[in-house]
Amino acid sequence: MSGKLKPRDLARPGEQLTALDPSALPPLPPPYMDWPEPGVKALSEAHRARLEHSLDGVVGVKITRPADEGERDAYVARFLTGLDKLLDREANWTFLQPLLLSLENCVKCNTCAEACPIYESSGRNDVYRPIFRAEVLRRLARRRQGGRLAAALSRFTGNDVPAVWETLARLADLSYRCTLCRRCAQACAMGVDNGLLTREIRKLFSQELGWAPDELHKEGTVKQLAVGASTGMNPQGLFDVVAFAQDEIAERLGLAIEIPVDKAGADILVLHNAGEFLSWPENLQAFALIFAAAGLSWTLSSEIAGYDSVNYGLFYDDVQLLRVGLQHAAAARKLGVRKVVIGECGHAHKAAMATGDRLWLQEANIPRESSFTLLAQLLREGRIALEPSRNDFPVTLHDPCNVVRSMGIVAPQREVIRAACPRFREMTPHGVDNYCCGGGSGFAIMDSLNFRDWRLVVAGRKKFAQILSAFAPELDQTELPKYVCAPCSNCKGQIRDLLDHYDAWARIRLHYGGLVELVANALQGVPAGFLDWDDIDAMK
Amino acid sequence: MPVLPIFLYAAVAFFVAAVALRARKYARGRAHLRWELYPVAHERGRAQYGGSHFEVPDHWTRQRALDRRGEARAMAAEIVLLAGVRRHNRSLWRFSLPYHLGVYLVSLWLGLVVAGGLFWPAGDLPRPLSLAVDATGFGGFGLGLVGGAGLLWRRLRDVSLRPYNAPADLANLGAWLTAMGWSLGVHAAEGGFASLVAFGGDWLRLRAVAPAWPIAVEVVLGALLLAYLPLSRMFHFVAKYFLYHDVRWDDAPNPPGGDLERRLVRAMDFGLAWSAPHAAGAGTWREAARSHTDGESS
Repeated sequence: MSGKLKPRDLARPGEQLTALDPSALPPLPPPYMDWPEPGVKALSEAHRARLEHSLDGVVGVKITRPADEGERDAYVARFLTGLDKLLDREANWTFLQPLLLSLENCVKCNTCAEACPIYESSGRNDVYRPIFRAEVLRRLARRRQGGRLAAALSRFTGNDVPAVWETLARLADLSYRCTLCRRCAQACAMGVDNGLLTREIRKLFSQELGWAPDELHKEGTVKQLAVGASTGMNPQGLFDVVAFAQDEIAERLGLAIEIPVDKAGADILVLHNAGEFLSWPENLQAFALIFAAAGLSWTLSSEIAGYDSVNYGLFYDDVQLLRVGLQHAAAARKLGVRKVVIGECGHAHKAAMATGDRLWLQEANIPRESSFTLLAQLLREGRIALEPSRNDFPVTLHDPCNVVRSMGIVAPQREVIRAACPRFREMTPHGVDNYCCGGGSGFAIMDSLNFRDWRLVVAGRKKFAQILSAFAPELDQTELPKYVCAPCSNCKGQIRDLLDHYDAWARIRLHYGGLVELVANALQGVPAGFLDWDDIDAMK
Repeated sequence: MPVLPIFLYAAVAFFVAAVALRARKYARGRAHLRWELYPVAHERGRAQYGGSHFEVPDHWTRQRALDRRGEARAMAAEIVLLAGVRRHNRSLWRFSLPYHLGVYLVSLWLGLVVAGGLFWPAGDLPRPLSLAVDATGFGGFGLGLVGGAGLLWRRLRDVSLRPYNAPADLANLGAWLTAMGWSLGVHAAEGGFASLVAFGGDWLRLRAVAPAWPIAVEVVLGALLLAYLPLSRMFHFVAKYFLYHDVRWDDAPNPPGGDLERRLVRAMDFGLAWSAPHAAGAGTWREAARSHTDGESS
């Protein structure tokens, strides 16, 4: 496959440019060497007729095929207008300098390919090389900026990708074959960031043509700004969740713990990913137990977006990134808190604290802190005490890319997990060199048609192999529970789906969860059994 | 005045202007959103494992501990030893390192030739300087040729690199190899660089000169290369500064009332020209934010 497809092939007419070859996938470690990988489901005839799938037969963005040539041409014209805006100082003030630098200074050494888990896990399919999609954007932009002269010299300069319908339809989908983990950027000695370029491509399509996966836009940021949470949960839903969590704690542990909501003047506003409330309610309970034990003054908010830390704008759209971020700030301002603490959601950390540092301006600039940092501080100051013997099972830690590689929060979660888990071991590699879970940049919530197959079989393959390797010494102990700590909602969702896909609980007792659950399970003053393996077994 | 010196002046002027213009283009967009990547070399005590100031409780109340020496060390390792390429692409590094060391030595050689021409216009350099010119010149051209030839061979041979290397990209290396190969041949035959130093002395003094044709060809090739540098991807000798300091290592916080905040507040009044339904008609970025924040100010 290597070297066969060239960037200009993206413009090639035809039904489908490439396809995933299950026989080319790299093998998994034991006990999954012979796992029969099904590959990616073929689309139905109806979907093939209606939806754009000509890149690799996988549908991520769900672009409706144009009815005629006129409609195609109109899309191409809008794309080119969008490209001009992407290179404009005002329309793209948010990222113009990083974009230009990465667009104009790649030396084409392909070092990025070897750092990319998706390229490797696909069996080294050319279209998934980080440079492939970046090069398409680069060549389109140069040709657009250079006019007729650039077109005349295109064979010499290599700016040979024409702006036709096939190019943009495939490029839009190709921008959703990268998790924006930025491992490629880290490997680039030049400092070129193909992850950033991928996000800029997504942004162009979203902000100019309105093309983005429904899960991120229509069912994501739009719903969050209208209803309050991307899950569709309204403020009353939050109160129900809180009541349920308090009841659960009372029933299971015999403790009366209050989970404050809208407590004006509290010291801390905790922003959770609302997905936690539905999929992993024990996460909220664990936070409540720890904060109660530490005697913190804290609250949740029931304002729009105030109870949902997600900001999918970070993945695809600067306008939505700004809007959601400022809703978070508004919720904090209304309560008059001293600081906002971000729960276990990786991209919410980055959107609020790093990227958002230059969007939460003036009165909206309320200090933000990671829950990992706060937990480590509580332990260090002796405000919570642990009985690590309760966590006497093998534990490994997944590093969410947005928290670690993009924000440099590496040590606090390790300080906590080492204090709580006597049988902790690192993955290889870990920290800022980690591999993405495969659910990054919104993939974890993109499940429609056959995209889920692709994200599990290709995007998550490297992470699953890493997890297996981390537990290699105990994999023959099939009754011994093993815990993958993934302190990020999206990563947790992806790892949940990976473990389901590989039937990993039944085969090797592989489970996953957050960091606070491990802390709560070992927390002095809380009865043993917060993590109940019998319950977990019954749920599987 | 003969054409050659004028051509060289024009090339130098073009080089300076093109570098300045392209650097200015990058420098204009510095108030952008944060997009750093860890490790960040100036994080004191944390750069080794990729940690950041965000690890500090109540980080906004604490002075950031910056390690400028550590940053300088990381930059030196990157510039001199190509540490990143060594770590992530060892097979490329084997050729890239001698090539870059060759270019550095040639740059130093050029400086010495100009200095020699300035102070010893007849080309009769003092012995130590003459030795330094010979060492940097012959060493630089030799290393550059070996490394450059290796890089070119790699790009032609590796099928995975081919789709990304247009003739223009190969021409970059070809231009360097031609210029360095010619210079090495000419001065090896001469046994030194005295004639070029003498030409440099005349050129710097605006004297009409007509060097021997091999030197004239050397000057033409050098001038063309110099003018081409800022137009090509070889501009990374400047761009890399911005890529690292303005993006990769740009973790500068945005404290209330600071200069950065003032620039960002101004940017919020830029026009929001995007046309998708959720973005169209908002006017400015500030107005776009307000349209979904119930009157909250950005």
